[in-house]
Amino acid sequence: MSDWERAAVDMLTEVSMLEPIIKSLVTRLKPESLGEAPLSALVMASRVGPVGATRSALNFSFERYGNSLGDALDELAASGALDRTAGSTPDDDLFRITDKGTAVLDDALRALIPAFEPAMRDIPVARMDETMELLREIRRTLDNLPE
Amino acid sequence: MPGTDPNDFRPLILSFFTEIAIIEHLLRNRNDRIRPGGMTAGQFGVLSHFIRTGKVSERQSILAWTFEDSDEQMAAKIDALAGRGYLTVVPEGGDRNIAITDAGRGAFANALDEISPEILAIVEGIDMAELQTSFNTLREIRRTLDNLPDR
Repeated sequence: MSDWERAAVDMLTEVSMLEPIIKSLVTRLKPESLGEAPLSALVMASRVGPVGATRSALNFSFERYGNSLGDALDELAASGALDRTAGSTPDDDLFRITDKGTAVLDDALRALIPAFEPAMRDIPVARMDETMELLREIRRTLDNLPE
Repeated sequence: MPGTDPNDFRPLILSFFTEIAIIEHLLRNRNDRIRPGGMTAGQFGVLSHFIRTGKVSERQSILAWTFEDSDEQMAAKIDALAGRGYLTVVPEGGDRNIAITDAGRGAFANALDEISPEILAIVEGIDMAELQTSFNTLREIRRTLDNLPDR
């Protein structure tokens, strides 16, 4: 493996390792807050915005959670965090994040501040900005890669 | 960031978590579609752990902790890899000792070759120094989060 490939694999591996750690932190730091599946559903819904996403698309995206994401979507819809538009089949139901859902997501992520403060405290602003820009660049590239 | 009001971290944390979550989700979907070496992203990640850390063996409970998996989720990944001869499994007390085999190392290398064009497409045009800096930053953050008292 070239140094370039090694650096790329290392970078992407760190991303893959960070994601479940961050999600579980929300659950641990704020037990009355969202579980991992609802949090994932809200993050995804927040990302797709007004376009919304179908139940089948969200389930496919988060199939690691099995049926629990299906329950999470309906529970979030019942609480008003997601707006559900019935489709021709349950799989075609369309879910969009509401203002309440955005507030719930923001509240859950706010619970991460006590954990992230020590993690980010000693990182220079310029380095963090560079990292954030690189993450956005990688995400945009992934979004546009052919299937 | 030195001197920053912790409350100012909120937008940064939201952005950071959102980008991490979305990239992980997109990577996992692509990896699961490609299935390098016939492995899921999770299975590939287990082999990657041994290669990356240089460890020959690891307890299953540690692997589950590292990947934030339930015991059942990690056991399923391990059993799938062991079934293909990529890992060995030795019961140890209430736990299991997991070791990577030469076949597992070979499978990882082959899988990496398979996804190499994909990886390079993802980071194409990115400066090597930026990649390294960002990797170091993410690793720093992960290690701090990993060492939180209740982790």
